[in-house]
Amino acid sequence: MTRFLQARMEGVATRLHSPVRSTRLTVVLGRLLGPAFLICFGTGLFSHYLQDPGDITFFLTRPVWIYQVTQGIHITVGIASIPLLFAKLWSVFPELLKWPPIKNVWHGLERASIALFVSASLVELTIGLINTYKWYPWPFPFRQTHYWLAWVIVGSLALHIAVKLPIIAEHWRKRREPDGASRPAGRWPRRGFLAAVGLSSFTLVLTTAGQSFGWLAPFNLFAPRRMGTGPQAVPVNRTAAEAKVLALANDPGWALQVTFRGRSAAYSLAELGAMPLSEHQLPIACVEGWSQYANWRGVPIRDLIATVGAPADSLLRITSLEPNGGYRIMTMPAAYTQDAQTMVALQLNGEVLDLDHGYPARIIAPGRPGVLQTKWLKSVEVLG
Amino acid sequence: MRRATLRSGLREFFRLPRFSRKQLPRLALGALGLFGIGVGIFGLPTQLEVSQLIGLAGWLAASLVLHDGILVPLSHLFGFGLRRLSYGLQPESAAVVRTALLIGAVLTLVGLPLLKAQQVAKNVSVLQDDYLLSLVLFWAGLVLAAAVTVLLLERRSRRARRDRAIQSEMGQSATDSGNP
Repeated sequence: MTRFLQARMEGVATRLHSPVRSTRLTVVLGRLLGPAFLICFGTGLFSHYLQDPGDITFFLTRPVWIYQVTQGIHITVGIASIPLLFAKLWSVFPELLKWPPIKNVWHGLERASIALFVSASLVELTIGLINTYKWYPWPFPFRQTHYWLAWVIVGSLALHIAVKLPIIAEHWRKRREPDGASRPAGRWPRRGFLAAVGLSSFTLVLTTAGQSFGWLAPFNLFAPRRMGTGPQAVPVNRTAAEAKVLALANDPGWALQVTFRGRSAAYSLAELGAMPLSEHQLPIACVEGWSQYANWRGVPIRDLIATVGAPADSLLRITSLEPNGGYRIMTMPAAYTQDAQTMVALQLNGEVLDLDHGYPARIIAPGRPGVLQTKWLKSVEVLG
Repeated sequence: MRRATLRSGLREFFRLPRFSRKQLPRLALGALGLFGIGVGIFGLPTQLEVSQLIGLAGWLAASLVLHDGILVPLSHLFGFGLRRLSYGLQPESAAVVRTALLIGAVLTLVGLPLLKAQQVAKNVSVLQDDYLLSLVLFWAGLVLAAAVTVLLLERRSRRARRDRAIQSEMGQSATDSGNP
């Protein structure tokens, strides 16, 4: 039986043999894919801790485009990794056809870790890509799964490098090809294959990154977003209708509740508009990679909380009119509260905020993920 | 005799590799890797329910089956077909055809979920483009670019072959005249 299977496997391996495959090709692809995964991990951790800070108290509000760039890079590098991952897996495919599949315990453990690495990487890239389309065809929560799988992947990457280090070192540098190495008809050389993989990554980035980087907008064929569209030329992730706030946001009796140590004040839209307003060009940047600069005008939040006697470096709890939703309540660390550009925005691009952009008032802060720029404000509580 | 073979087989199976002191950094990297994997694996159940974990395990297994069992074998089938199709073409032209198909396949793989996602999209500023049209236009551009490149490459190589033939003919006649 074993012999029969071995013969079959060898038969398949012979049929699938390609002269393009080599350990050197695998190492070259690994040299590209490894850093790409690390960049995604680093930028992903940055985004994760902005949303779930835990005990971290250090937040960057400058440059104002910091999150726009880190998340733009996260998505762009992630997308560019797709052809690289396929190429890397293709280059080692014959490993699957070796017989026996498990030689000893050590080999078995290594194969299991590779299976985990490969499957986690495939799932991570797939759900990451499809999440940017705002489509969730999986039975688990995206953000948490994407985060924990990232740890599995980066751990597997370190383990994989540790196991393969002698082979990687041996093929790290280019070696002279043996003279007279001929190429069978219709095939391509290793360099041609690498160039094709590189071109695939380049084309993918070129046709999708226009949602994050304005100068690529003319080539934006396959990105889920387009710059400059949507109400007031800014895209919308969650509409007022989706958030079920239409009635509450349009209520003429709306007032923003501000509280601090028992002191409380309520400001109508007219009263907020009568306060000294400031205006700033700030990007709104989403975890899904798209971003858009816009002109925001509103009350600086540190001035607003000063009206109830709270200091500028306060921790705030900001609540939306939304009846439910994961981001209905947002905590604003002091770094954002004291920033002069953080505001309760009332206007966008010279007009009163559109309902879908958070009318009557929303938060806009420099360097924060879009999901934390709470729309349809209800209250601002100073926690301390 | 049989028992001895079994014993040595088992010993062989459970034998772990030996490490020298020089390999300590490698071991440290491996340990760091195991730590990272542990963080992820033990972190997942802190936020995912059992049914969600089972769903994730299904996705992980399905990704392996889809990739190793379908995608890679299909790519090989395509490769065999291409080799036949591009037989007789210059190696450069064959590489251009393969590159164009690889780019097209990758873009299609990324673009097709857009079409499905569009059916469930909830507002107008997400997925607002006609991605099917984009895909068709992209393929048309790709086929055109590849066809033009292949034609140019083939013409150049035909010309080079003809020039070589003429030169060798001239050389031949010069030799002929020099050595009656």
